[in-house]
Amino acid sequence: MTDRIDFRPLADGRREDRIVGNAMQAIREKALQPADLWTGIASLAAPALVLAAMIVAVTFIRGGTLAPPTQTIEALVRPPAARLTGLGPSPAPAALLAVLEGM
Amino acid sequence: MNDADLIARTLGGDQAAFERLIRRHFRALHAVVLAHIHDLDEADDVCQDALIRAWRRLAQCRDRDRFPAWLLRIGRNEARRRLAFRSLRRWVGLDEVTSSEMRQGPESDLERAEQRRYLLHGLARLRSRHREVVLLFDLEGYSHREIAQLLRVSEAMSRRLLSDARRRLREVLGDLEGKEGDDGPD
Repeated sequence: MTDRIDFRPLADGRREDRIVGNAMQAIREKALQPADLWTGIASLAAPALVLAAMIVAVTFIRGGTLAPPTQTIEALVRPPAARLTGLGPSPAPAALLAVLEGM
Repeated sequence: MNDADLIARTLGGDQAAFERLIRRHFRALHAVVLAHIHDLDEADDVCQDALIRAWRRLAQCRDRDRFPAWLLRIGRNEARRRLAFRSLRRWVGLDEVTSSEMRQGPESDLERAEQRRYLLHGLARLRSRHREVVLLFDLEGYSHREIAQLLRVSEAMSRRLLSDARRRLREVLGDLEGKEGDDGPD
């Protein structure tokens, strides 16, 4: 057909063999991979389990008697009025006030 | 052996059947990918990725008699993914434009490289559907009946798209030729 656009510069007789060949080689390599995949997952799972155990242990210790919650410390330091309003003097002047009131 | 048989054999573990299947439709895949990518080397890479993806997802091809259209859809999606990646790479400045025509070496290839560049630039100005049809028909030699099945359009639409694509491409190539002639030495 005379109307046809000449695309011959874009043609490449070896393209099909090259690309299909590469794809099939990659597929053959990937087809052997499932065993490697499970090995990889297992090797990642072990450190992940250790990390999870550490996180659980730290959480348990922090929530237990070894380390009291910070709110308890604050309640001990701040005077009652300050605790009610959420405002008031900082812990050091409050302690000083308590000493003065006791005198 | 038809496409459905080859798919069944592939899913049964016969890799040679898959190779027969993709060789049967490779030229259509390449034409459609090139219609989106406009770079021969990159189109080759995208085709390879599309073939591997098709192998991985072959079980998901429900209508096995329409495998070619399914394969072309994978090719288009891979091409779009590559274009998005390319624009991202340019945006973050990871690389310069690396088109195949810029890597041509020997002087004997220069003229052919110039013709390639000219055609690819012209194609880039067309709509994607026009590019697909004109490349399938004029580059790969598919008939209108085959194109209609591949692109899921009517034969009449295929003819119309081809006619429009050729007309538009000749206009664009004429414009490019004119501009390059203007830029040249007197």
